[in-house]
Amino acid sequence: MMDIEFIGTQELIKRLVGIFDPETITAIKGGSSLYGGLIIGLLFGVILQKGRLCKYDIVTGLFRLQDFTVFRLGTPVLMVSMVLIYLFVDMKYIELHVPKTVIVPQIIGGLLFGAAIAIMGYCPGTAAGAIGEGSLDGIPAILGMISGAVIYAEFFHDDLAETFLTWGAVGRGTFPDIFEINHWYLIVLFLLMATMFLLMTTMVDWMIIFLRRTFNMFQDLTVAMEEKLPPESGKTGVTLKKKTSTDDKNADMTPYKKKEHAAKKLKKNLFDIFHNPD
Amino acid sequence: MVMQLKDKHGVSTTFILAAMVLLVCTAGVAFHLRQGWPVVVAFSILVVIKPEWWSMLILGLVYTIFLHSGWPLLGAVFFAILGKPKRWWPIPAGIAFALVEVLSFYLSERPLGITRGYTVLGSIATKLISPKHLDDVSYWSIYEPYIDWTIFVIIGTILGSFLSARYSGDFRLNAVPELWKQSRGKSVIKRWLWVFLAGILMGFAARIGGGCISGVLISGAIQLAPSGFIFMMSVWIGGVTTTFLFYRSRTIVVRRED
Repeated sequence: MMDIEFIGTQELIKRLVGIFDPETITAIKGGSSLYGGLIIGLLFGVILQKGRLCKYDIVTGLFRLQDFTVFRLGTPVLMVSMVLIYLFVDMKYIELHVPKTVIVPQIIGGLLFGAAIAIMGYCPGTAAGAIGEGSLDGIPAILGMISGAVIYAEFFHDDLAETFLTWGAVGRGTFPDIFEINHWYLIVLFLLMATMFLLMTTMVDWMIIFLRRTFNMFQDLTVAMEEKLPPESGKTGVTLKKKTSTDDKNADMTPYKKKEHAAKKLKKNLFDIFHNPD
Repeated sequence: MVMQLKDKHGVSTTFILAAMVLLVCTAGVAFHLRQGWPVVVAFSILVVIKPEWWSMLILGLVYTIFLHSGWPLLGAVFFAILGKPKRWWPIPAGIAFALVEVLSFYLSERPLGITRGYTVLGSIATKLISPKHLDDVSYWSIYEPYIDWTIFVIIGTILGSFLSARYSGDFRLNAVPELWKQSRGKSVIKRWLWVFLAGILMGFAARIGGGCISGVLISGAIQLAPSGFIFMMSVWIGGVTTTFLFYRSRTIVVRRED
């Protein structure tokens, strides 16, 4: 199938030069400019990191129904950028670039994509951000995504192209085109719905954070109470020696670290209470 | 002994001496090449080693001088003030995200999308391994093997996230996330294998659906295209179902609030 021949350094450098197009670094503006991509990517990375979207805990917390940070961040994104983009389109500063709509493959692709996010905890953008943040499991994620694209192109595209990939093709239309009404009616409708949704998710999320903090507070309380328990009576000769050694070990730790250590131990016990393996 | 001499910003004399030596060396290299980029690279390395507000301002000034443009300095001032907290409140972060999205429409005349970059990387890998095979695959005629905008978005995302995490002190290397340890065990190999398999599934699904979260969901929904809303619903359904099937009894895990 593929014939892989071993090549020298010069041939490799020739191929590496072949993938670079010098016209892409002549200007900042434009769809192929590399500088523009770098600027957008830098801002994107900073925002993803500050919004805590690069963390596995936050993204799977959404699908575990216990952390709605993603919804609280994503709804304002849709609201603000929808208004601004249609405003600028009306003022003729920018143009729309509508993605293609094909209903059946997008439903199937979305289901598979959601499954992958639930296992992996990163979307394609946040996998790159996770590497920058120090989470090294973004590296297999990126390698996997590249190999997934290669597998699709090599083995599936030619077979699937004429089957379900064309079912329900709508083209590059938008809702205002389909219903033939002014887009501002739909935007106002969306804004109302999104505001309700945002209020709801924020309330739910604050409730969950409150519950989690309460749970953590009780953990700390139990840890503090455990520390104040009187020592066991009897066997003073043997326990004294042991006790001094453990005290020396604990003396090295800062109070915060000590507390954290004890809390971790307790958390493990609590965890085992709540989650029996069988 | 020298190490202990620190001023109120925590800069030791050793660091200043090492920085001076590095800067003098790179200035020599820059004079030899008649180009300014070695000095800029040296300043960037020093800022990564010591991320403080004053070093961020110095970096912005260096880039302003190097690029003959005021934007890096302005960005550095904003970043030095706003980048210090470890997290932003979700709604302001979302508004900033929306501004980036609009900037992408204005500056690059295309919506923000990431997955295309991974596909192009796949075609580049095919070209590097065997250029003859590239013509056999019809799909690579859509995604030509040239370094393009989306690959630089990926590189920029890595750099921006690293800079932000390093500046706010949030950067720490870890191979397995905390919540995964609590629900699927501590094994690094298992986690990386699952991530790789899920990555293959994700790349495949993104090719069927025609994009990713930023490329179809956000960019589609903000232009009121049906694709964005369809993709949103199906991602949500697929994600929740898979979570409850995959993590089973350990789906709900109490995490420590930080």
